[in-house]
Amino acid sequence: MDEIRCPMCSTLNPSEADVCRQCGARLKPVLGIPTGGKTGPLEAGDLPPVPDWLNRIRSDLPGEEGEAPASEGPDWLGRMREAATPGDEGPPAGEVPEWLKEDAPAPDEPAPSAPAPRTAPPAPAGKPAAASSTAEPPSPSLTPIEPGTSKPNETSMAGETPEWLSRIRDREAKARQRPGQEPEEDWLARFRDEAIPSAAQAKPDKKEARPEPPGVSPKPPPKEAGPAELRPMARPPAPVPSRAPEPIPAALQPPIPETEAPSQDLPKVPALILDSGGTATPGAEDIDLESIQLPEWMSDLKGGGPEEAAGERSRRDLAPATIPAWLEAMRPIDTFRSVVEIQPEEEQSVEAAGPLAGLRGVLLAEPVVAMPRAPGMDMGRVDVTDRHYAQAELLQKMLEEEAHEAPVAPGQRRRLPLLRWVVGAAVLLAVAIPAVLGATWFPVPSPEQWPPELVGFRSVMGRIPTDRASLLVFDYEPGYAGEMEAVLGPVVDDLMTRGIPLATLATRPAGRILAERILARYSSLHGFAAGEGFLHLGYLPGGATAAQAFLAAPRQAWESVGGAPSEGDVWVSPSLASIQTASDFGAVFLFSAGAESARTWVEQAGPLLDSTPLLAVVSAGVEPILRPYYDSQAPPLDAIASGLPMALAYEGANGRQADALSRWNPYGSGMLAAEALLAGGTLYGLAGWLTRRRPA
Amino acid sequence: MKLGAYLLWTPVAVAAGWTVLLGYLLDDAVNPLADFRLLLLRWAVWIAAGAVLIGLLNLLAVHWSKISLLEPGWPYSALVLLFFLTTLVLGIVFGTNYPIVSMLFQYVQLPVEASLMGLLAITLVLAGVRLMMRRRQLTSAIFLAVALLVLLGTGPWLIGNGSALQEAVVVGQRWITQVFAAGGARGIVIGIALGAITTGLRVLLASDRPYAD
Repeated sequence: MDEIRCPMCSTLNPSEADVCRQCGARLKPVLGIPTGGKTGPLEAGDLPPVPDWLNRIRSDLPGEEGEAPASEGPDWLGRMREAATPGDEGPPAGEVPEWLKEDAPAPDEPAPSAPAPRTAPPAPAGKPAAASSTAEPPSPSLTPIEPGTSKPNETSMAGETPEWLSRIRDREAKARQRPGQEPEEDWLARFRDEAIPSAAQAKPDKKEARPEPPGVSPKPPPKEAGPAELRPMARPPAPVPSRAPEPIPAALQPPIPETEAPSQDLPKVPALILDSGGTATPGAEDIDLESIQLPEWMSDLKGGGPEEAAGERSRRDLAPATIPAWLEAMRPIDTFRSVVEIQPEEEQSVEAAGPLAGLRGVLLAEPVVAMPRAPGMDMGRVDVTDRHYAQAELLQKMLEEEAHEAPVAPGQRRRLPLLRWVVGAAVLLAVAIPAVLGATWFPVPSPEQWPPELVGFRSVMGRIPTDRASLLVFDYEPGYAGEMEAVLGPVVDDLMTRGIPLATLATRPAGRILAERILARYSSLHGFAAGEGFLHLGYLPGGATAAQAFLAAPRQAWESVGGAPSEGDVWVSPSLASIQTASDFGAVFLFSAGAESARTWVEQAGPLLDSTPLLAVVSAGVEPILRPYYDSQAPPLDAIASGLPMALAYEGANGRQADALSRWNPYGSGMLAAEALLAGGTLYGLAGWLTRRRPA
Repeated sequence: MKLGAYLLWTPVAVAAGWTVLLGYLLDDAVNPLADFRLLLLRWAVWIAAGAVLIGLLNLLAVHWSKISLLEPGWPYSALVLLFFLTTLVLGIVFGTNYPIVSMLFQYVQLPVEASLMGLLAITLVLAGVRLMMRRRQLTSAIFLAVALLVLLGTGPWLIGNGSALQEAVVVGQRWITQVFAAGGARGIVIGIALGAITTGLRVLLASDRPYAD
């Protein structure tokens, strides 16, 4: 509690200390407060009284000494409350001191309008807050300022202590002598010694400070209320209003001695300025330099003396400081070394321009900033590793290669794709020679060698009714015409031989022409007339959807796409008059070379055809896809025919050799050539692999 | 896709799908949606026919753009347009039975496409010849052995026709095609069916909306 905080470094120092033990700053103001001409550290009693509002603010400030919540106040606050019992506050009712009686205004005289300022003016900078809050006497606002009285010191005249005040002091003295009680703090003792009499003499409140009308005894203060200057300390801390400081009324201003403050100017100390000769400037002679108490750190700065000489000697004996290794490693070597050499002051140049013009010894910025600096000796020293060397060599090689003109690579001779030509020529010749020469090198398969599917196919053909048209679906591109026409030709021939009326439907744009091409070839052989023996329904776009629509309702589907305008209304034909659904056809033949479209037709037509047979004539590539449908237990596909051997066998069964036989020898020759080429290539590759493996 | 369009087209698509599916599964006699199903199918055929025309117009526009910009190969585009328009006009005016149209098909389109198929055959043979030269692996050897066996069993023999060796080769060829090839084809068909069911359900349940974008 008896510590004061340094205004400069906030270090706590003993209350009796004059200077900070940490920074040497003065803790108590030396000058500036008129204390009767006394210099040196101020004593608590020397300080001017602090107003009540300032005391409250200081007590409310957080962190200030003496601050404590009302519920758990410290001992000092409890003791203060004890001292502030209602019976001890102020004089007894009806007992007014003489000094108050004299200064009290007359009952008909208006009360002095001197409201106490609620907002404290800013505290003087540098003043220790703790010291000011504890050691300062009560505020002059609490002192009985009587109208027309300018010397409040007269109010505290010795020998006029009232009786109630004597009781307080006696009780206090007894309390101090209680065994086991800690001695009071010095500052609190001083505070109590000074504050309580003043409070007793003064009115505890502005309200009470007013003179009571005659005949009315002074109202006793409330029980909980203590002296006016102690009430704010007992209350919980309240926020400090941030209002602008109001000027202190003149009546509340501390008295200023006439000797020092004849005017309103603040007291000041003339500056101590030495001229070039070391003498003090005029106006400073009357300052007693010896009487000024300087802090220790200023005393240390004073030169001369045996101690300084001893210090010089000791500094010469000091070992040079060493820099740690890690710091030495971080220090930039020569790179940032300043080239400015500090010269004696007499040789230093005088600043010619700028705000420092005329001063000598000013650090020049130009050599450091503008002038180039010499690189250090180790500027080019780089730690190079082997990897750096390798990369540097690689970069050098790349640059050298860029510098040289790359020789123009001789154009690679275009090699004749001999193997490609040989293979192509062999296959072409193998196919062409038998076709041109009409050779019969390959024997026709005997009936024992016919494919087993032929029997089933012809069996289904035998069940097809002749009174209804059979539907021929042309579902292949012209590129497959060579293979497909060789296979489906015998089938169409057999149909016409059996006198079955035919209706063609194309699911490809070129299917219509392919159908006309086939039927034209065989109709002339059997006397089938277009429109009677066979009809072309035209092209049905839409893929699987169109197949579904046509199989469900052939006539509506055909009409929806416009049908075949050149054929007229084909549905009035006798062979098609009874056709309402796909199951009304005598049979449905699928001529397809596409695996996807063939599968779609088989899947779509199978459930809708009922007992109407579905026969597929497909290319050799599609046959494996449709084979599962044909081999199933309840096959949606009743018969299947594919490949030239099947066609040749079918022609043999029909007893009419046609396209299949004419293609049999070229087909066999081409197959033989392909087999020979494959075998030759395989053997050549194996031989090359063996010959290359043996040396290894 | 905007929210309003999404709310409009999704019920339409789902309703159409369920209608066609139920019409396919139920008998038309007891199916009140049979006629509606056929109507939807006919609409699909119309849309497909329109798509063919759009494709033709797109082909015309692409080649016309190449000609107008004189891009590399524009003479070929000019030839395509010339024959395209010629065939189109002849087919529309005179029909497909017109001799010139038949001649164009028989002597231009059909040989060209058949030649492409012939080139495919030569290319396959060449690839087989090079296979053992470039990829000397066991799988390559097996592939070539199977190809040779099937070719020998399918095609006629120059000599030894009807011999026991040919009989053995034919049996081997049939065993390969009927077991391995048919088994692989069944797997493909089953996979396609499962995929079609899954895709169809996703569309029917509006989980997949290919018409959204």
